[in-house]
Amino acid sequence: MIDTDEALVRRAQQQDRAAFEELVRRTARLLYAHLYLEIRDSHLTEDLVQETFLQAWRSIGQMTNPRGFRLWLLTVADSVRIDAARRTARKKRTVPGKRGDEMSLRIAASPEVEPVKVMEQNEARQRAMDALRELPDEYRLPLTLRYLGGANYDAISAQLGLSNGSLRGLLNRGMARLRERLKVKDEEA
Amino acid sequence: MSNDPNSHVTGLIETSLAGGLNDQERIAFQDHVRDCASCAAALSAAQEFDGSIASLLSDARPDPGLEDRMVGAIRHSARSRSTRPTHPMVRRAAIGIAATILLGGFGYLASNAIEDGTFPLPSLVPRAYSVGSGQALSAISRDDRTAHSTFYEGVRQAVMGRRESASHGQSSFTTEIEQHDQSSRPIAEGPIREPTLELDKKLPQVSVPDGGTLLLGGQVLGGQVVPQESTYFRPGSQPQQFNAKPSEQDLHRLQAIEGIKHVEKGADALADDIHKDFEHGKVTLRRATASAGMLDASVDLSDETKSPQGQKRGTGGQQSSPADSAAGRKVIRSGEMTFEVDSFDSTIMTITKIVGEEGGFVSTTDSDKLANGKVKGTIVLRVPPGNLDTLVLKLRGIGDLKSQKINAQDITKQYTDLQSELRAARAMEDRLLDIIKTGKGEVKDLLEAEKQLGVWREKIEQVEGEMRYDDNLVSLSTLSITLIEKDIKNAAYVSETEQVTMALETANVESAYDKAKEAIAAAKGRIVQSDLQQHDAGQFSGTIMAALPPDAADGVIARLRQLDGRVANFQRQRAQKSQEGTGAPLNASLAHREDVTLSLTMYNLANVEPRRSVSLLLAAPSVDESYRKVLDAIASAGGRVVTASVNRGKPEQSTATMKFDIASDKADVLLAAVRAAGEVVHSETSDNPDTQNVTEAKRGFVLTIEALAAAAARETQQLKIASASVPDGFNDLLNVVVSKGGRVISSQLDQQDRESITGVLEFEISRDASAAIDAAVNKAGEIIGRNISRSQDTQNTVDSKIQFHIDLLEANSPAVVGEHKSVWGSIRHGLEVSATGLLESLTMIVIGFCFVAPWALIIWIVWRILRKRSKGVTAPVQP
Repeated sequence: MIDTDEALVRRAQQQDRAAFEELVRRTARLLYAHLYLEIRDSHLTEDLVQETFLQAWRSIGQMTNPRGFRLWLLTVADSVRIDAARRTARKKRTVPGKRGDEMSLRIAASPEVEPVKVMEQNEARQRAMDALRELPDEYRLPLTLRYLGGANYDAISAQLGLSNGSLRGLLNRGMARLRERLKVKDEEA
Repeated sequence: MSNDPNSHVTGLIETSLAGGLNDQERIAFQDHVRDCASCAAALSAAQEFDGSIASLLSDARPDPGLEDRMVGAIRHSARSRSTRPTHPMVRRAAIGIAATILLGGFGYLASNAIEDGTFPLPSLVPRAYSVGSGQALSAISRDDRTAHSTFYEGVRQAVMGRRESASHGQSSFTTEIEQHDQSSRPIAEGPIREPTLELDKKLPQVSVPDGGTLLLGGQVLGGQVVPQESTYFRPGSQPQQFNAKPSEQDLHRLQAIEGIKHVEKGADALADDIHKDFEHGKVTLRRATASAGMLDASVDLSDETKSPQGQKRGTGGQQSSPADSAAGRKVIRSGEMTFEVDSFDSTIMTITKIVGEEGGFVSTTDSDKLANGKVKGTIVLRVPPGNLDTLVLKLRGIGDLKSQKINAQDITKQYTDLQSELRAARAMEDRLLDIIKTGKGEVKDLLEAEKQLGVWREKIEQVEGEMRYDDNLVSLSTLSITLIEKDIKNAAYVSETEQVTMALETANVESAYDKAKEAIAAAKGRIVQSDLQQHDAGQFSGTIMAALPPDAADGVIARLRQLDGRVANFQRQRAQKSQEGTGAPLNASLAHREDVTLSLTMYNLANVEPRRSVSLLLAAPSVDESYRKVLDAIASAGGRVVTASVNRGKPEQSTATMKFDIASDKADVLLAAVRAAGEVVHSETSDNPDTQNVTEAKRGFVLTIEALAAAAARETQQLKIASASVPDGFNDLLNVVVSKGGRVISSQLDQQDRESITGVLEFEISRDASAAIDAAVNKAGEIIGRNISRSQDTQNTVDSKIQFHIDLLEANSPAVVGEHKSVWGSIRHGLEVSATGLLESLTMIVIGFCFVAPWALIIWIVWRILRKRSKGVTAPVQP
């Protein structure tokens, strides 16, 4: 970490593309993890991440607080996601499950696996996702980065811009909460 | 957890799983876990959970290199979008404006082009030429083709038929097919060419060896062939074959196909030959199509002779030979004639002589003496039929021919029937005679035979009698002549009737009535009916109907005319009627005069409407005064007041209406008096139609008197006066008006605002006082505006007074401001221009839209269809 996020943001605001690219590298997985939890489709999520960055690049000049870059980026991502959802809703002929439903794709892609198992696994997956989603932001982000973003410990701390100690605590408590919630959900199921 | 001694270790479990421990910590952690069973268990549980979650969510992980892809995408998009991106709303707005301008421009160009007539729309091109000629072409080609093929078929059949028959006769002739269509070629080359080729293909050349000629002239009109001339020539070597066929002359009158079929029949006899020599034959098809759709064709089959029998038959049956009729015909000729002659007897003599000359005789004579002493008679002449015409000619001279009728009745058939009937009867008679002579059979039968014989003989007699009668009639013609002696005209008897109708207007009906009766009695007239009536309202009427001796009538009428009164109506009708006799009346003085009928009506004028009535509207300063004046005038002139009323209200609202009449001679004097009573606002004289119920002896008046104040002044003066002191000027003016007898309608002096005191004064004043007013006005201040208007001279305006409307203003008051262009005016003008421009451009946009929208719609629909089709082909079935 040669430059702090803040410095990079300031440079990016001066239309320094290299600085923005560095910021992209530092926040791509965070955005991915954040969006995936809502979208639940890797390709679509990637598209949206890309869209979010483009949007951010366009409007980074208007951002007032360089420290709150991540928060701002997440806000942008949310608005991009909502816009995308609106667009999808407007396309009346979009068949539900055509693009977003990976389950049907998985069933179609692996004919040797029994559909029932796939279904069960899928349900477990949905439960896990829901549990993750219900966590408060501070716990959710590290965990989603870890499981959805595929980031290792260093990457997580880089993406979140957190110190080692605070990340440990968040991870620990987050996992504990996740476990509890999943247990509850499994029992419900 | 706080009381857990291993809490510092268990807190690291998740971190270690995530790979977040540094080397030192990891070693310490591993050492501890190896020794501590609970921590080991917790670790394994955490590992298991971690693994399960990770495996569950493994699909969600992005493909490696997510960051690189993102960076690449951003670089790419930045390259493609070098300029700063615009807000989507701005972009949309820009697109919208551009489209609108484009549409507007397009609409402008299009509307200009349409107005110029240069827009290449099919509906705007004068297409009468192309379409019209196209239709003509198709019509020509269709007709030609039909006609052509029909005719071609006919010719083909003819030739085929001929081919068959030709084998018997070893005849040789040529058939030639040619086509001449030069004249039609410029019109329709293509369509007409086509059948030519067809014809050439199917009938190359036909030669017929025997030299027979079939001439077929015809016209094809709209698909129908009308043969005009068809002749078939045949060499003498094969007459018998030809004779067997129907007459070629029939062809003349047959329709197209029928005609050609007849050609076929006619050609049957020779047809076989053609079959052999088909290739050498030559059929000539001449198409001299002067106009489109006409086909003139001739088929030439060379031959020398013509059917002699067919010709003879053609000329034969039309005339009837006299020899024939002389031999067998039984014709009865008879006639009737009517003459007007001077003398019956001498004419009889003449006729007898003439008939004798012609070998006839007078059969019967019949005559009557008429009432007028003249003779009318009929004589019947019999004369040999051959001499009848000469006789008729000769008889023309005997007198005035009134009518003539000669007729002939052919009884040949009837006569022949009688002959055969006679023969049959005679045969029967012979047969019965035989039976009786041989005497065979029983007596009863013989008796029956005798009886039958009687019946048959009677019949024979009867038939013979009829035949004789017919023979008689036929051998001698009958001419019956009616003779009428000319009549001497005797004078007609003429009678004359006269009717006099008279209406008398008189003041004293009773005395007139008595005097009229006296006059009639003195003239020895006869009063048929008379009555005298008195009605309401002093009206009298009397009527007298009388019959007067013709000679005395004029005298009575003259006396009646002198009665005290006026003859309102006088009618005298005289009618002559001729009775009996046939000639015109010889002399009018011979007329017999009947008594004159007199119808006299008398009445007085009380209830009779005057013919002329005058309607007057007076405007008077004082209605009452004028009313009294008029009444006095009527009384002194001796007029009769029918109705009179005064409506007294406020002086200016009073009205009076009067209806009166007066003898015509005094009317003008009275009218002058009435006119003097006030100012005539309106006067109208109307004449009723001159019918029986109106009189000119008196004149009616309808008078309305209104207050002068109520009538509007014709002239209005509006004055604006800038006065140094408005109140003073106002009061001075007011005083002058009042002193001159003007009527103040309204007056207002506004002194509320010290800076601008204004006064408004509206009054009417006699024209005579206008000079005084002018002086007062000039004194009051400076006239800064004067507007004098005179309304149209309608019936309710008065010219004797003037209405003034005076505005008084402070001399220094800025109240008078010219109408200069204000800011608001400019704004309004600008808005106006802008709105006009807006509407104009909107029109252009709409026009452009109208041009573009259909195309856009079509493109969109096509796109949709294509898309749907491609999707329908490629899209997999949804699971």
